Amino acid sequence: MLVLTSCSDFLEILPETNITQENFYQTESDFLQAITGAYAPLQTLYNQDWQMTEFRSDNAHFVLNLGNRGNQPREDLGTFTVETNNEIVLNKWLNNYLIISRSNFIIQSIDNADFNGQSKTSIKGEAYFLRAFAYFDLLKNFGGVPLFIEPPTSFSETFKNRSGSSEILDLILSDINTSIPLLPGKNNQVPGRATVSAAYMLLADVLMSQKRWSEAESALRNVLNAGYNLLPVYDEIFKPSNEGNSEIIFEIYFVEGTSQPLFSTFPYQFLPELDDPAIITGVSPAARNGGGSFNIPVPELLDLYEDNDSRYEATIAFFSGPSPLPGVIYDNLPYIKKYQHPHAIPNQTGQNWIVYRYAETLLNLAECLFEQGNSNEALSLVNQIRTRAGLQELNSLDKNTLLNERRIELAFENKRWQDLVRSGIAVEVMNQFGERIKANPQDYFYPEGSGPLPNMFNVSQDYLLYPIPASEIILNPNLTQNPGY
Amino acid sequence: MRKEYGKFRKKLSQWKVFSILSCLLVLISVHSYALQDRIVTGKVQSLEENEALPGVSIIIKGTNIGTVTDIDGNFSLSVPSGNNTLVFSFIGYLTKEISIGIESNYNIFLESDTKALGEVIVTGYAIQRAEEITGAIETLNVKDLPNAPVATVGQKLQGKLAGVRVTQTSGRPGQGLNFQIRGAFSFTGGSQPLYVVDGMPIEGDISFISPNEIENITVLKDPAAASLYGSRAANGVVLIQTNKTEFNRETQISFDSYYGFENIPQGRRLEMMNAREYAQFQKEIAELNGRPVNPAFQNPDQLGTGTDWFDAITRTGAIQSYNFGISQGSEKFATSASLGYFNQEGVVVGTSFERFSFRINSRFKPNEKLNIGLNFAPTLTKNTNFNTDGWPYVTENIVSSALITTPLANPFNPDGSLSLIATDPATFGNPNWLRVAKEKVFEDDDFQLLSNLSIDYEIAKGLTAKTTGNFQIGNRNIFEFNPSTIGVLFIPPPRIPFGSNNNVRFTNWLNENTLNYAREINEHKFDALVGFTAQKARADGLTVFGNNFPDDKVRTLNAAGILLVDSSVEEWTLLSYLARVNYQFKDKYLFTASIRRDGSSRFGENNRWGNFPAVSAGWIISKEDFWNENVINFFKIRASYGLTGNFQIGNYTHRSTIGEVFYPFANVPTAGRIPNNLGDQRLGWENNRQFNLGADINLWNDRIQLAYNYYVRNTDNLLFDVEVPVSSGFNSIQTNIGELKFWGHEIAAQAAVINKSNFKWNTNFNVSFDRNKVVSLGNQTNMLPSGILLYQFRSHMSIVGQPITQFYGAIQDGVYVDQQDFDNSPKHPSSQVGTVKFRDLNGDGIISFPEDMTIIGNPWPDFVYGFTNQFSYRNFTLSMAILGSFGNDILAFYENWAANLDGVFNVLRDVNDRWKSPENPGAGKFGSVQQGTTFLERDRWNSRFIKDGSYLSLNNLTIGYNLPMSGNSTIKRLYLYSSIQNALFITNYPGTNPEVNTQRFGSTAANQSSIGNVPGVDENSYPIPRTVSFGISVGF
Repeated sequence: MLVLTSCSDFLEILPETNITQENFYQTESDFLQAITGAYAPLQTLYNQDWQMTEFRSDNAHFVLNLGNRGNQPREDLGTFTVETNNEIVLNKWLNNYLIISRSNFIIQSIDNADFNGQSKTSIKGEAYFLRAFAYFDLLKNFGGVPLFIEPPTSFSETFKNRSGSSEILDLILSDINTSIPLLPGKNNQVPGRATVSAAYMLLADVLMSQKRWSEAESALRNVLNAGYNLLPVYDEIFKPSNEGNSEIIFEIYFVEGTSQPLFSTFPYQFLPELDDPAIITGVSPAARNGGGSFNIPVPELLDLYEDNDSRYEATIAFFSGPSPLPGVIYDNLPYIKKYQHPHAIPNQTGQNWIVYRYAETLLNLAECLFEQGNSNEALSLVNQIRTRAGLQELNSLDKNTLLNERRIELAFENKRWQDLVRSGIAVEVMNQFGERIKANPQDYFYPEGSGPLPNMFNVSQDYLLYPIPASEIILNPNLTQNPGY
Repeated sequence: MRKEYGKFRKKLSQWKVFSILSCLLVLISVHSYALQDRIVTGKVQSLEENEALPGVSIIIKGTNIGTVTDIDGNFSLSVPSGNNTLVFSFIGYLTKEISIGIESNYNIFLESDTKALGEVIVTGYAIQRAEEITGAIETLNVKDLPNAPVATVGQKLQGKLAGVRVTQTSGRPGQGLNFQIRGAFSFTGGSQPLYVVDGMPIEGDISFISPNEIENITVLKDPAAASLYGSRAANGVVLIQTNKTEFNRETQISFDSYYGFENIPQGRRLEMMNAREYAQFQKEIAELNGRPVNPAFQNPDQLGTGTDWFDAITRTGAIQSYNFGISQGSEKFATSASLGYFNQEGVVVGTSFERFSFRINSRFKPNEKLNIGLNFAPTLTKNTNFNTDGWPYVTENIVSSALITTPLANPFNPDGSLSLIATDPATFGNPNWLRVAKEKVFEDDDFQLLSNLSIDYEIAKGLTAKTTGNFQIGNRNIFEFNPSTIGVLFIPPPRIPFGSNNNVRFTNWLNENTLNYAREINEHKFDALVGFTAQKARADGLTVFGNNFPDDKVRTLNAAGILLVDSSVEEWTLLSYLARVNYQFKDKYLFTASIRRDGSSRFGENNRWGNFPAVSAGWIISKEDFWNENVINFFKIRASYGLTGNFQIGNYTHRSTIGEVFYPFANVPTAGRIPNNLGDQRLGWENNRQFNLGADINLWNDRIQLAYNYYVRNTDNLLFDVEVPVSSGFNSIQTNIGELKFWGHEIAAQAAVINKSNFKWNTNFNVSFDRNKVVSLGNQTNMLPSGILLYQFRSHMSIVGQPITQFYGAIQDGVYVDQQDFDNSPKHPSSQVGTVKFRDLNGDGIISFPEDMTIIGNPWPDFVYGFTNQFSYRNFTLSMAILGSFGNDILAFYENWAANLDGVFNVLRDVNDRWKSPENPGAGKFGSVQQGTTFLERDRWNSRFIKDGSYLSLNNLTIGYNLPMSGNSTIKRLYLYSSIQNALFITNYPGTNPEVNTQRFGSTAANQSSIGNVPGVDENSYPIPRTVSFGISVGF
């Protein structure tokens, strides 16, 4: 007969390929790994963020692919026909909550951890920063959302109703303010991790969305002397070889060619869809960039660039040639050049996504000053930007000039939609944009015989927010849907 | 000396009993000899086969005088003078009484016993006579079933067992069948029962075992029998006994072989448009949308039929099987060995299945008290079944993908070589699916070894100790290579070649130790069992992915430009104690009580142990003195109640594990860790309480046998991975919530309708009515979505008070026929004249989801049935197995792609009957092809997908001929036959296989395409071929 030393030993089987929670969240190494885990969803968020921001704005449209209707949920974001089951919207929701949950685990346990010092302070600050960052993204896109400030411990605790948007806002501001004294400056932080300047940029972003201009101004002023500056050449900002440059305040990192999939794909979606994208990228052998021909720069944006603006060449390129899309021939089709850079593996790039850079600091500050009536200082800030672009300085500033300067400088950096919302002109601008497309669909890349449907671009105030994902409401019927969906 | 003497004394005392007995016998025989006046001789043969029967016991009625027949069936017996009656009895035959007249030589023919009651049945840790059984048990002698040309035993069991639904959900060669006992269901796990092979619960299913090695199968349906398998018995238990070994048996050599062909009958194909119809369809799409018609579609009539892609990727396949068997038994040693080879070419090009099997079962009996069994069975199965089943999108699932490929594309270039892509001006570039089928490399080699050792020792009279050691050892390797010339739907070649190698090694061992005591005191029969068992299973997986091969020349992973490695370890242990008591009084009052206590590594420390007791009782009323009924010769009622458990919860789910992710700070991939799941140390066992009430009635001397069962099972504290709002940071939580109720009736009947010596007709019919209901889903919700995810909506919904996992979606009310209809009806923002019209269920005037979704169908049948007939006329035999299901719905999800109105795929011919104009609105099934409006009918679950899934299948038809053999021939038996498997389906279901059920189990991640059990969904799987075979069975 078999002799067993002890029943409980025999039955105690630990998973070998994972560790368990009981022996995690204890050491410095644990928390370093935990904070890394909290950053990880940013990759998914920013590989797709353009769809809900830039692509929804009047900067871009797409080439309708009659052969693949699988892209429809993405098209819906640009045509204002989003349904409650949109997967891209769900992904934003989901990944922000992953950041929140992972930050909550850290915030809950780091004070009792058995290590101290700068590392602990920074990790704690980053956890608060990331939580605020994620809640702000949710607030901007969904309004009030379920508020989790600690991890649920049971089935029933996973069900929460929506909190009011002011409650979310309070948490965001309080988290940022908690993080600021804890976070290190640029020179003491690993590139890619949050710094105190990133927190000030986030704080200003939040405050500006509330039109709290003077508070936003003072937040931004903390960034002015934090070691950042404008690079002399606009084009240099976006080069993978120049990552972590002195203009960048917070960016999402991607790398290609690693054994873990840590690359970005958005540059391929901005390319015209081609059977062999190597024609443009030079990276071969390549496979078709399915889902390409999106975020295509529209004519009125191209028209907005002044002559000799160095940003035009850096941002826009054109392609002519046959297309794999039914009924489409690319005839001088514009596409975003900003993110096209040499790389080794097709459909994988190491292109980072810049969230905050110093040029925006200056433009944000200019806006805060302008809104408070201080046009002169605002003008000098805007002129710094124009000078770098090789343009004449302006002598005066109005709201429209300010917005247009942002539109050009930050084109395809996912700022335009929030600019429209913050300025209160989103509904008007987008309805007009829709009318122009409907009137001349072929100017907006629609194949002959096609165009937007009548129900598209009926933009209302409701569409400044996205719907709460249907799958969440199906599971938790107490979650109320946003109006208009 | 004294010692020696003592030993001798002991021996002597043992001998004493025997001597006394022998003396008595001698006395009796001396006594009888004194009275004898003659000797009677004769021969005993079987009535059916005219074969001599050795070992038949012959007794002079009312005396102890008797003898047995010799090896040639002859006997010789001294008979006292006067009128005597001889009683001939032999296992498996009806006892016969003959009164002896003046003749001295008698030729006796014994009729085989059709009744099963005398039969012994292995019920798990015991062998019982059928009439003593108090639970709901089904048993089937596999060797008696017709020689169907099938890869796995499952196909032979279809429709044969009441309450056991065995379905072939896919025709993939060698694929195991789906077993569902008594409507068993689990939200996240499978509903497969526990498979126990020669006493060992195995990992995985039984499809790897050659059907030739299986002697019989017993299904334990209720807790009376199943509770002894405790924590694993909730879905029922299937016991498999492999080749029997018998002592004192002459050498028997057998050879069995068949060869056959499989093809797909026209009725099992979806009717797609041909080139002409397809071009017309494209032309109409362009015209309706005001787009220029592409020249390729301008003149449909010139195009002919084009390529039938289903034809292109399918073929007639050959199936062949060879099996050699030998068995022999002496007084102390018995063995049975078999060697088999099976090969099946799939009907889809590129697929195949092959099996090499060997088994040797031996028994040793060194002395009367010791009995040692040793089984050894290595099996190697190989298949090349790449992905064939399921939806087409961005997959190589060839059955769906090839079907929707444009008929304008040709798989061959003008020079006869295979083309690279299949496309036309309206569709995506897709791969040439014939080339995918031919050039995709997929090699799945699975080696498994089953081995059992059992040692029985009789410690004292009635007291037996048994210990067993069992191993299941496996090694499975799947090698894949995707050359540059193949692709998937939407991603045409050339692709950068990639491949992978996945290896899983596993071991599963079980040690069981039992002590059995049996005693009979007067009319009280009693036996008791106690036992202790330990089992451990471990699987180590290693997958290497190779990407960026430079070309197709070297396919091994060393040529890959990038290698990725993943490994996994899965391990579980189980410790158990078990005990059972059987008590019988007067052979007619039967009682059993049992308990198993399982300790499982899959549960947290606080709830590691679960107890699974059961009680049952039976009353054989027909044995009562008052029973004077002549027609009903046997009548038993029985009842049982007990607990079983469900242990299919994953190995480590009670633990909160930490997973790995990476983030490249400063471009350096940095390891991060994240909470994977919310574990729960308090996780408890699911409670499965089942009650069974049954009756067995036999009529006309067992000629008709009826069995009836009613069961009700309540499962509460359901243990499963419940989907939770992702705002919690998690997709799901493993927890105990909710309660389900299952109940049903099963009726089985078998009859020897005609039982003449040259014509026999045996029939077997069973029907089961299984029902289920959601009783509760905990406090948070009364609706639980599950199934396939389509744009965030799941295909199935379980609602409190209703059957589990019904189909959930919108109700289609035709199309908006014209402007007036459109103006007067509720609309979705994308609705246009001609698009499909859904019902506004909440009455708010607009169509929106999920608000306007409801239950639209029920995947559970009203009843399932099986009907088997066996005829024999002289040397001819004919058997016919019919089975079917009634009242279930199928979600024909394949319409999602095969009826796509955008003109991006080839489509069902039915699509022609769509809305074309207010004057020509079609059948109201398919809407307008207006660009941008077609997604609703396709991408929202709706009632158009729901079809009646009732069917009747002529599952098998076998006709055979027994060549008459002279008694002296070396060949003792020669049987020739022809068999048709899956001969016919009679159904209104428009899909290809009414037994279809998409197999998508497992992960519950919110963005995963499916969650939990997905009953009744047709994603267009591998077609079920019709197989026609010719076979020979020879016995030496």
